Order: sequence, then C-alpha cells, then structure tokens
Amino acid sequence: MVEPLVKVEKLGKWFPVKRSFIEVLKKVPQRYVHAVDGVSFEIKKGEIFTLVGESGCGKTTTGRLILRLIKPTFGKVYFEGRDVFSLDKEELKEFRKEAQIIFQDPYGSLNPRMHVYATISEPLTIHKIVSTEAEKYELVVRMLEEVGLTPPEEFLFKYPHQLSGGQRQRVAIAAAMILNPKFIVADEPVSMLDMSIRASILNILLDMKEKHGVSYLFITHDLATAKYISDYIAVMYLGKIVEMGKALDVVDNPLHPYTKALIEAVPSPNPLTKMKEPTVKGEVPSPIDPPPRCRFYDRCPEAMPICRERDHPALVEVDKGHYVACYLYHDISEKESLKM
Amino acid sequence: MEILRVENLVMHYDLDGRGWVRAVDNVSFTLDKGMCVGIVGESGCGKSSLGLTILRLLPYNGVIKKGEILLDGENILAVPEERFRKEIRWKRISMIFQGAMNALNPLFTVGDQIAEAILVHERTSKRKALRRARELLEMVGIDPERVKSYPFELSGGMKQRVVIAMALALNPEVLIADEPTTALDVMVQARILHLIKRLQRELGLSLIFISHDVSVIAQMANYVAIMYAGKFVEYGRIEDVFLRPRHPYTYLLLKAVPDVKGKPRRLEGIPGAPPDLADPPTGCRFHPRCPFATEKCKKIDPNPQEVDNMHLVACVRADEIKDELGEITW
Repeated sequence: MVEPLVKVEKLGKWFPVKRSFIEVLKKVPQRYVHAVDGVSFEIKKGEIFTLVGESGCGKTTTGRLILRLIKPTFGKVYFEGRDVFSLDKEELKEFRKEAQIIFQDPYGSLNPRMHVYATISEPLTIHKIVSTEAEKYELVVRMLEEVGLTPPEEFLFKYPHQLSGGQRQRVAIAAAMILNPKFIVADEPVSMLDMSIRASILNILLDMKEKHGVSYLFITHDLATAKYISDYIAVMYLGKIVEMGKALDVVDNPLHPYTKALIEAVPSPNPLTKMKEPTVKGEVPSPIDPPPRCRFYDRCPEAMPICRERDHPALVEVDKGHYVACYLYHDISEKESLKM
Repeated sequence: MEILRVENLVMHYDLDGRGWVRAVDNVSFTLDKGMCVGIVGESGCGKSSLGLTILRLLPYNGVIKKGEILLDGENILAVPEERFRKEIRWKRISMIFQGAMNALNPLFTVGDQIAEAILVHERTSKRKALRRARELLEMVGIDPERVKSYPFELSGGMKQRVVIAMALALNPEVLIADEPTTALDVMVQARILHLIKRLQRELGLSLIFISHDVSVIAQMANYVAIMYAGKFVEYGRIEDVFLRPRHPYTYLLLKAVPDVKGKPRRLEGIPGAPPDLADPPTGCRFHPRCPFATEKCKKIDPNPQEVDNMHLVACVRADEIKDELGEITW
C-alpha cells in the first residue's frame, strides 16, 4: 500500500458567529458556522482530487485548511505522513515549498506592481534555490515556456495590467510551479476565464500532472469541468462529503440524491440533451449549528424517517471505491462503514 | 411571425478623439414571436452592447452609426426619445440586466420597487400597482407576501426572480435577458432557466438571451448568433450551429466546452485572446487565432452569407473547410 501524499482525517472548521454586546450579556450561547464538518479523504501522488459543490459548501475552507492557511477546529491533515499542524519552523518552510496554491481570480492574486519575472522568480529567492542570476533567469524562462507564454522574452517584463485573464492565470500557475511542488491546491482556477481559454489552462494543469507527477486538490462548482480534469471527485454539501469516488463513477452513476440533482441541473452544450427541472426542494439551509440529522434531509426527494431520527449518515462503500453518505445505501454495507 | 428585426446595425463607442471601439459591427437578425434568439460570445465581444443598443440605453459615447431596428415594422431608432421612453422601453421591450439582482435598492421593499416601475409608466394608484406587484411575484414563484421584504431578506435566486418580475411588470412583448443566471449556483440556475422558459410560453414572450455560457444557450435558444469581436460570425438554428458548425470560431469554441453528460474527450482551448476592438486586425477579425486562415483572410472582412437554409456564416473559406470541420459529436 502506497502512502498517500495528503491524508485528511475528520477535518473540521467551525467559525464562531459574532454575538452582539447585548447577546454576550444575556449569555446567549455561542453559535458556529459548520463550514467544514468532519471530512476524510486521501490524495495519492500524481492524482487530481476534486472537491465539487455549491457556494458555501466548505470546499475552499477545506483547501485552506490543508495548506495550513487557517487552523482547524478539529481533525488532522498529513502531508507525506507528517502532521501539517505540528510542523516546526524549518519543516513548515519545507512544506510551503512543496505545497502551493492557485487562486480563482488572476486579477487579484498577482501583485500589480511586480512584473512577470519578479513574480515568478520571487519564490526562488525566498527559498534560496538558485545561486546566480543567470540560473534564476533560465528557470523562469523555462517555466514560461511550459505554461505556454511564448516567446518568454515578450512576457518577462510585462505587468499584470498588460496581460489578458488567461495570460495572468498562466503567470499564477508558473509562480506556483517554479519550486517544483508536489502538491497544488487549485481553487476555481478557470471559473473567471472565458470559455475558449479554460480548456488551455486545464490542459496545462493536466500536463504538469503527467510530466512532473504533481498532485492536485482541485476545487470547483462546475461538474463538467470536474468530470474533465479529475481522477477522483468528492461532492460536498454543507460541510460534509456526501459522495466520493472515481470521477466517472460519480458523474455518470451518481448515487446520492443530492449528486443526482446537481448533475441533472448542469446544462449540456448539446442542444439535443435537454436539462430537467430540479426535483430538489428549497435552497441550501443555514450552516449555523445544523440539526443532528442528514444535512440534506429538508430538501431530499427521497427522505425517510430514519434520515431525521439519526445523525448525518456515515460514508459507506457501495461499489469498489465509490462511497456515499446516505441511509438509502446503509443496509448494503453498514458494518464496512467508515467512521465520520 | 416576425416581431423584431435588426438590420446592419453598427454601434461604436467614441474614445474621446482617440478613435472608436467597434462594439457592434454590421449585425443583422430576426426575432420571431415566441422564439428565443441566443447571443453567445466571450467577454468584450459586444453582446451586452447589442442589448443596450436595442433598448437605446447607451452611455453618452455610444453612437449608433448605421442600421435599423424594426419593432413590428417600425424603425425604433427613429422614434423620438420621449415617445421611446413612454411607449417602447420597458412597455414593449424590456430587459433583465446583468447583475441586476445586486442592484436592487436596499432601502425599499421589493414590492415598492416593482410598483415604482409600474407607476412611472402608467396612470394608476399605488394600491393598484402594489396589487400588480403581488401578482407578478406569484407569477415568478415567490410568495406574494414577500412584497414587504427588503432585498437583504431574499436569497440570490429570489432576488433574480424579483428582477424578472420587474422586467415583466408592463407586459412587454420582447424581453432581453443579459446573463440572467451568471453568478447563481447550478441548481438555482436550472430553476431560473425553467422559469424563464415557462414565462416565455405562458406570456408568449419573444426572447433575446445573451450569455457567455454555451451550455445555457444550448438549452434556451431556438436560434443562435455566435458573436466575435463585434460581429456575428455564425447564425442559425441551434441544432444546426451546435451540431454542424460552419465557422472555425464556433467549431473551436464548441470543442473547448466540457459536457457533463457526454463521453469524455480531450478539450482544446483556442490560442491567443480576442482582439482589441479599438484596433481590430484587418480582414477577418478571427484570422490571427484561426488555424484555417490563409492570405485572403487577412484581406477580406467577410459578412454573413447563407450557406444553408437559415444558416449564415461569415467566413471566406466556409465551403472549402466544410468537411474538415465536420460534425460535433457530443
């Protein structure tokens, strides 16, 4: 059994809800937004693992937790077997080198006062990777070629405002890749880009995976993109993973009522495939102190009494490597169930 | 039956003596009653400008240089502003603006805001206008009691429904919907799209649906125009254009879009970026990005020609490359 690159165990992040002064005096109990509420998964080397879900489901918070950009309320993250939250200063520096992030908005993530060369070469300086300026220059040029900004000389000293959205995102990818990281969190990296540009950016990420064996945590709300890029997909709803498995298993054969509804709602570019009206009721409820029952109970078209009487269901393996958290499937393999 | 016809429309933005941005360049199409024409293109291609031109809501530097917009045979570009405001804008042609749901006034209830749209145009009492607001809310699937709600009390999907109700307040015949579901979650988007379809059917609305999202257009439109750098490069029935595209840009665009319900396939992006409309390339505006471009593409600026029944393409090589493009297998 190969050690996974990233292992997430019952990870959770609860954000306290602000109380007014009066509420504090009245001793109104502290309430929490359960942004991420006990998720567990593994990302293997050279694999793209995608978190997909609607806004507010906790996918971005999960990404930020894994990179130790915020502290968890509970749970553990292991990177190459080491607990990410108990790294010492030296180890943390090494971790920062090996785990990188690409943000959604290439208009906001690049420093407008730094040209392309400065942006991409800064990590090399910080981590003292190169000793000479010539070496640094060569690495940056090679990186620019790899992300398709050719000829590199034309782009080296341009500022972000002189670049298109697609070009900026390529610069952001180059800056994330320059240290040869093992793991990248890509948080909606194409959702701000035009359709004709998206595929090129996705293909760069796929090429990096093939060539350098980089692993990704890919975060998106778009199931069509998720299907295209992912090896594994986990569907999140209100802080919980409700379904997880190989990308094609989850998208082509969804098991959870929420996943089914989500996929049905995605419009197809094929005019002969008509979209159906969602059968799911209402809207995503508040993530503040959710009641102890299935998170999807209120909206589920297939809800049963057990879904209300018991706590949120654990993930069970229904097919090989295909997990679902739903009481509809619990009789199948209750004893094999993963603990949440 | 034709309700709106746009003919050779040209609209430029004046850059204060530093030239012109050719946002809408020689655009023609016909909207039949009860039909939906989709306008799809990348950001900056001029699709929103086209919508604003039809409603005559251009900023001070937007100049209509040429062309006609015929509503039931009358050229509405020649109508004096006063009459246009009173009789046409919002009453016969109305619009759902991009991002309008975030532009609702936070200080007034949604009922007041819908009623205002009615009171500005019709001699009626506030009470009657509010009653109409309730009917409209019910029509778009919101509890009529919500007339008393403020925008902050509503979810994104509900605010978008309010915006749709406002656009329909005066029973328009033509509705221009500019990115009405962008920034909504996919489940909410699906509901809003179904709502618009239902209203279109029940009210006999004719729709101009503007979006950057090829998939949304595929689901909504009967006819589609592919817009690139201010021009229509292809126009036709949605099935013809999306299954047998004849313009290289359409073909490449469709090849770049993932389909959640289709077979897995390799996607390819289109190299380069759309041109600067203040300084567009000579000849065909797509030629610098086009893998099929030849010398003549740099010289000739093609206009849409009929290549098939109701299928127009603006490409000088349309016939030569027909077999190379072939069909899209989704």
